[in-house]
Amino acid sequence: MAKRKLNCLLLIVISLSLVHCSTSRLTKPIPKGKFRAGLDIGGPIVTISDTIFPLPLSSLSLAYGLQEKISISGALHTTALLFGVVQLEIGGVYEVFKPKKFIPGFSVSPYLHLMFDTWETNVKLYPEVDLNFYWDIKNGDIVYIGLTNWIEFATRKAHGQSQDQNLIWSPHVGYTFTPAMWQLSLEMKYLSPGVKNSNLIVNYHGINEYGALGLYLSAARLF
Amino acid sequence: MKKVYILITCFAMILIFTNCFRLDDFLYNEDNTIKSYKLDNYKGDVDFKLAASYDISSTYISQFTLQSRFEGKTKKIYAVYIGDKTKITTDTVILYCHGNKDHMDFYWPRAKLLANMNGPMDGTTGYGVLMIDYQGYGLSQGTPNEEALYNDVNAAMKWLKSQGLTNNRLIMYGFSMGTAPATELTANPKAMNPRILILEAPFASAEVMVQDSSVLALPGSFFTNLKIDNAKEIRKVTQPFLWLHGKKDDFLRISTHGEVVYKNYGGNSSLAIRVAGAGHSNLPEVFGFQNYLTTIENFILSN
Repeated sequence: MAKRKLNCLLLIVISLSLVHCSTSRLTKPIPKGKFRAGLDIGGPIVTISDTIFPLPLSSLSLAYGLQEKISISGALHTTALLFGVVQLEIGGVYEVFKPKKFIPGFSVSPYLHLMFDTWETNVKLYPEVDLNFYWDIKNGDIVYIGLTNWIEFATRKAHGQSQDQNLIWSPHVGYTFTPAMWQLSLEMKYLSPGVKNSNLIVNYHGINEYGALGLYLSAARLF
Repeated sequence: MKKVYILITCFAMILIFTNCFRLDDFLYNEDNTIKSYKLDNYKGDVDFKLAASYDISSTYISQFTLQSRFEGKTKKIYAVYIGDKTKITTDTVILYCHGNKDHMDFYWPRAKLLANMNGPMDGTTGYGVLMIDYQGYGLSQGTPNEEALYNDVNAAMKWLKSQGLTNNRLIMYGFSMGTAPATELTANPKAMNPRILILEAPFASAEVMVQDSSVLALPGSFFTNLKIDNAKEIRKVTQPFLWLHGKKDDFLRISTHGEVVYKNYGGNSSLAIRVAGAGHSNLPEVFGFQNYLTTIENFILSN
């Protein structure tokens, strides 16, 4: 019985958190003409049955170095797919300026998330814009900080209640290791710090009952 | 080319597992492992315990089964009636639709409390309480599902009608998940037409649960096929309506669930009781058992 309840809660929590889904996909462009295939996993940190862990939300992505300063990417969110929700993501990264010693590089990554369910074919469209500052450390490794921004167009939600958050912003910090042709990233996000997280079915871990901390891992291979 | 095949294979495998999960089958938190109902002797967790002064003589506790039909099949569901069954022809009966957890033993203190409405239950208080276990809960046959909830509560109303209860003496009470069948069958009466609807900690809809937790205005269909929508059904309710909700409800927020249901009520005789300090499970205790009973009885008597 206890196991069944745990499964129940886990599924509820995972499903309710599908949108908090990945690392900052591309913090800087990949080399021109190269492909990058990646797997992202991680999510908001929650407590279920006294156990604290980040949700295992996953996505697969493919990126291509279009120009020296521009890479394009697409992704399929695999956890969402398990629930019959097709979530596709297209976008890319534009490097505004490169890092110079202690001055960080700066990039802008616009994405478009198209979601639709296979049950009633309800469709949602969410633009996302990531802003990243990053520093080259050594051997191609980078450390980065930035903001993930989701835009909710709806002004009303169920039963005519007002949708109070139209810009959902989440600061993040991460590190990317680059052994050989790999890019391995570890990222921490503070999801929706302006939103109170108390009195919810999901027990998120935020700061002073606001937002949710998230932990994400990403493994990508260049070829 | 080999890489392309690998990518295509991976994608195909993902698609195979598409639609594996929906929340629907996992939302129900039933326990069907018990061998019998223990009621006062139940040793498992309960939301609150009552003093001995609320105890009820076994003379006024009747356990029995009902038949509930679903998808052409008849299922045996279990029920407990607190009160004098021979006086259902004259007593006012509260049909208590319990929440999502375990089975009737868990909700026994709640039903017992209501049975003490007009003083200790001695067969002369003028009240009785009927509680059932929905399909899949406790000893009741079947598996939980939305339609079964409605059918099971309707089966309870059929039984009450067969015992001589009339519409003007039927009070429909729903707690948490039980607010779904309570609201549905008050809005769209079947075997009987309840005179009064009482909802404790109602949820607005599955969609609100989704949106509360995700921040975004996501459609409920992204996660569940459940059609439970109290916020919509309550518009059809014109019977007097009493709403009780804890201000600190950490499961179904009072602002996004209870207030919406209350606001959408379609009638013109309602009372809202927002209980400071109460959470989802302890409203009667925090409100005070006697306050709780007096509030409900006064509402019944004044309507």
